[in-house]
Amino acid sequence: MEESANRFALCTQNLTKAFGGLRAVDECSFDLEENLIAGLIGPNGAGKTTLFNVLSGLLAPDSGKIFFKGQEITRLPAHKRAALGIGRTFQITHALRKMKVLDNLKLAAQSQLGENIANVWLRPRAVREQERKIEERALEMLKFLNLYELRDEYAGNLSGGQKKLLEIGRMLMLEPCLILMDEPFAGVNPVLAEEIGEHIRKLRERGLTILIIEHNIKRVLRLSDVVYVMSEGKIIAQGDPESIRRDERVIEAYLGSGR
Amino acid sequence: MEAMLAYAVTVLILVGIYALFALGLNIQWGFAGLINFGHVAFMAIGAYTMVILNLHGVPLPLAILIGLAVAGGVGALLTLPAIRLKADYLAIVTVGFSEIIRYIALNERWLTGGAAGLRGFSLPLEGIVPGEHYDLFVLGLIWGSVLIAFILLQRLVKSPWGRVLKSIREDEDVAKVSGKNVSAYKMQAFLLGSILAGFAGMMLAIYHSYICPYYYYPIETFYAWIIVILGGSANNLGTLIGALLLWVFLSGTRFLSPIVPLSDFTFAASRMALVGVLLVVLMLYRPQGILGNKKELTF
Repeated sequence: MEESANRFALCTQNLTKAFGGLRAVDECSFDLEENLIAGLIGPNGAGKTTLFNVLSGLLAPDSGKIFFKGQEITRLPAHKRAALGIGRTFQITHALRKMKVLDNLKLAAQSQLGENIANVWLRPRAVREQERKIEERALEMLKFLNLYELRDEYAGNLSGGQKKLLEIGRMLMLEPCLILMDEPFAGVNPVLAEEIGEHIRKLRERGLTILIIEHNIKRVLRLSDVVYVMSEGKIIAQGDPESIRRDERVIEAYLGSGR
Repeated sequence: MEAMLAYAVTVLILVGIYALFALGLNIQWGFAGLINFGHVAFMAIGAYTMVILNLHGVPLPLAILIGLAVAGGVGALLTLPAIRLKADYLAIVTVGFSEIIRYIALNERWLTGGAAGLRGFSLPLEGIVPGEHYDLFVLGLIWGSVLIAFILLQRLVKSPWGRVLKSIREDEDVAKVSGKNVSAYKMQAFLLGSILAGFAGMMLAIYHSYICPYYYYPIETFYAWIIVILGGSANNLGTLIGALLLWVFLSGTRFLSPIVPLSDFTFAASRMALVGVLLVVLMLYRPQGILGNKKELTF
């Protein structure tokens, strides 16, 4: 079982997380192959965001295991998972509102010399040199996301959609190989949503694996290579968009019998 | 004239000591958003360690270094259980801790001399600096330290390290998913802040050439809070200005005592009440403090 985990970008085994009596994630097992866009759908309260919190390390699971590219990460703290290359965005944007757009991005660069007190005091030149490179990368990222003009703005002044883009940019500064996106299209106008979708496809072309929570069924079926359906803490179905569209259990649990 | 000058030296010494003390709190609260209501504990730990070691034969420079290490170390260790706690609980743990330290100083007479305090420890360059100029020497020592601390801290807060602290202040989860070891940074903030508090405590002990538990009431912690809030959170220069204003106010109003028809006790209490009123007015009209940045005001 654990041998086979190697092939997958992400693999969970009987993952469980309960809040009191409520088992938000309940014996959840699934495998996610590399370099795909995967949609995660399910009714409200199905446990999708809790699953993301467990996967990114913000919540510790009660039981079960998580593998990232074959390596068990179940007990790894969140910051180490990020350093390994697991990025995430939040459902309600967590832009650092009181920090400038550029600083939001620069924060997420990894292995910064200047994050060590001794280096700041004793190797100021090396720190400045690296900071300059990080700034260049951050500016490139802002151009990629069409946020370049806003680089010196406080993040709190951005529109909802721009904050979503900013969060995507911050996550990409990690140079992740697996990204978890919690409703990246929610509250975003259709034009910007199309743009975000385009960015996500480009990221797949770059070799990333992307897991997206999304409520807009049409969009998720169009964008995804594979779709997982979650209900009451479990993955109840998975497959390509076409088979999900026809799956009886999915229609019952989620799409509604009227369809 | 002579007396006025001596008085000014005294005030400036206190300004310097409390500037160092409050710079430590500014790292913790101003930049990292950690509520430390027990800052005075580290003042006491630094000072008592230095004095006790010196009285037991440890040379003063070594005693100072060990005192700084102990204050910093205890500060860092306190974060282990406390830092997982949400802001208000951290406040309770730290204020409780500072009272524990004060009670230890008061009651462990074999070690701390109890309420009578300790004296007779050696002072820096004692005997080399002429006695009549010793206060001026202490003034130079303290303000030299303030300058060094200020420069080192300015470098830090403008570095990526400072950026991580600000991100923790605003949203810990973002710092975590951006790959930052949040607990380690909180610990470093406490380590640095406690070292500064410890050093301030030592300077106070050296200035008085005496220590006793009555120097370490929680009010000292709140002086540091007043200084940081007054000057502007997350602004080191503001902290220096805050320290100056607070002590000029506290010592300046002392001269009013003969012309105000209040008993000494009532007068002292009224001064503190007035500080409170001024702070409330400041919060109403300039919540970011004198030099703080309103756009970065997190609380």
